[in-house]
Amino acid sequence: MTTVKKVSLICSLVLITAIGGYGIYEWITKEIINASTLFFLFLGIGFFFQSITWGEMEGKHEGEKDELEKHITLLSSKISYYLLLLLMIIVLVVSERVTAMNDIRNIPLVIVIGLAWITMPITEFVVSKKYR
Amino acid sequence: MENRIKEYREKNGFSQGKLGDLCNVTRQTINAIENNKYDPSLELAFNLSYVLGLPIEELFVFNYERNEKK
Repeated sequence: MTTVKKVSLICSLVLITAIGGYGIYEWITKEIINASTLFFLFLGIGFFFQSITWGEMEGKHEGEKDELEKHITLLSSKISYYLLLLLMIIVLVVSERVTAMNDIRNIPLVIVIGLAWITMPITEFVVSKKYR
Repeated sequence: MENRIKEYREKNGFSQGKLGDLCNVTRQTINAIENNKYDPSLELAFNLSYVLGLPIEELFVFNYERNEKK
């Protein structure tokens, strides 16, 4: 394991522990969860996985990747897209506590899910034009 | 697709890292190709055959029968 990877892993773990600990403390004592706490916790988790995979907190730049690494990024992008779509639907159902479409009141989230749904087909259409 | 990269790499006295350096890829990429976990691009396949000094059809073994069954 390189020194950069070790430092990146330690830094991201410290960040996760500190922010996570602070979040739990606030939740227990004040019964609140701050958006900023959640945001920085997710940032820390992102840094941790970037460090494990690429050896650096901010990941690896596209230009520095070889073809297997580019293949890994491409495959992960597609899996992430469908996973994110599924997670958004789960968040919508859980937060609204309804299953009937017409009972949903969180229209912005429905719009975001709709946009996410059409993003890939539209992008595929534009990219396919390049090869036809 | 199966390949004989490991056999010819060892015959040439190259480590995975050295072969990776000569083909501008990482050691992990060579390892994944040798273990049939990743099929290289056409460019890398030609690069490997050039560095290892043998024709591409000898380096990579394409099984037509297995491909038809898919």
